[in-house]
Amino acid sequence: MICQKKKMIIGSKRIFGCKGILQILEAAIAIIAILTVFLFLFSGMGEFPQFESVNWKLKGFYALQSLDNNNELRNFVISNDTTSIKNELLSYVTQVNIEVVVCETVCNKPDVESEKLVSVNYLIAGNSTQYAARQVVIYMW
Amino acid sequence: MKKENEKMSKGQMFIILALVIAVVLVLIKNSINITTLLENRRFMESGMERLEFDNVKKEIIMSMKISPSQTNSSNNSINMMNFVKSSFSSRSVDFSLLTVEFSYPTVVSGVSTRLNITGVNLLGEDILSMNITFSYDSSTKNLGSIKDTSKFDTYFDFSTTSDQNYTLTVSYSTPSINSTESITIPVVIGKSKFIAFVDMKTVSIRQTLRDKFTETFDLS
Repeated sequence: MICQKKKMIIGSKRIFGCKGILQILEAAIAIIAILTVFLFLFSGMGEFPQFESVNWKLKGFYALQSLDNNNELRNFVISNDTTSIKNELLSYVTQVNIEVVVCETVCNKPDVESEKLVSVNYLIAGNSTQYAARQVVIYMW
Repeated sequence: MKKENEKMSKGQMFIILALVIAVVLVLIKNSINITTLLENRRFMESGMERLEFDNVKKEIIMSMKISPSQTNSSNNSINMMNFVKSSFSSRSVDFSLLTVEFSYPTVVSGVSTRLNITGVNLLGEDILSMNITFSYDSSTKNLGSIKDTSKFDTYFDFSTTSDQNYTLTVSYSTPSINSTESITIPVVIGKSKFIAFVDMKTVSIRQTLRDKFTETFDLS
């Protein structure tokens, strides 16, 4: 019998006896079993879908739509007043960084380093008296 | 002896706990349906595309309403359509559109009036042939081939002594489609009108959105 039923004392330290080793062994088996089951169940599931980016896009678009319905957006856009648009949007879109760009066909991306950067485009044809096709792009991260 | 049993059972508790955790993991796995989550996300993204599509439609109509006149309405809307195409192409979304616009000056009873027709081909391919037939006298104009991104125009003359609804039948073919559209032209004595038919489509990896609509505006 390799395992003996007595405590082993070396110097002043007491080290595990047979039962202690068995307990460690059982705990290890339990951990290995849990890990095996976890890997077996969840390794083939693929990437968990992220909803954050699409939620931001929807929030951003609805915020622009609300500003437009309040007759505020078009004049801000025509006068290229991105600061006012951004300030107004901050009351709708919270807990996210935003940057607003007003452009015609070529829109410069802001200098933002983030893997979570998303953008929403909203087109306007002008206001009631002036044709001025522009796009408002909100970048969120 | 009792103490020894307690120690043994403490060790076995780990195994029993592991079994319980394994069962819980199996239950969690069964409750998470990745396919449903992916479908939900896809549904939300499709909804976002629909919002952008509706925004474009609204703004194309808006462009026709700004300073309405026979020239402004047509020029503004065609410029807006080109602008929309550029915007979508910069985002790698395939946008295609065909518009045919009609306008006539104030109609005077019994006096010959010109129905001007202008359009633009933004279908992403050449139109091989286009015919427009006017129900007033069943006359037909053959516009031949129309290159992609090109404008086209023609006209019909009519004379009426009462309000009428005429029909213009536009038939066209491209290498991929043959299509016929019937557009009602309301003619009202003493009025000038602008009528636009638009067939627009976006194609993304998730879905194809298409809408055909006709808008009519009074110019005087």
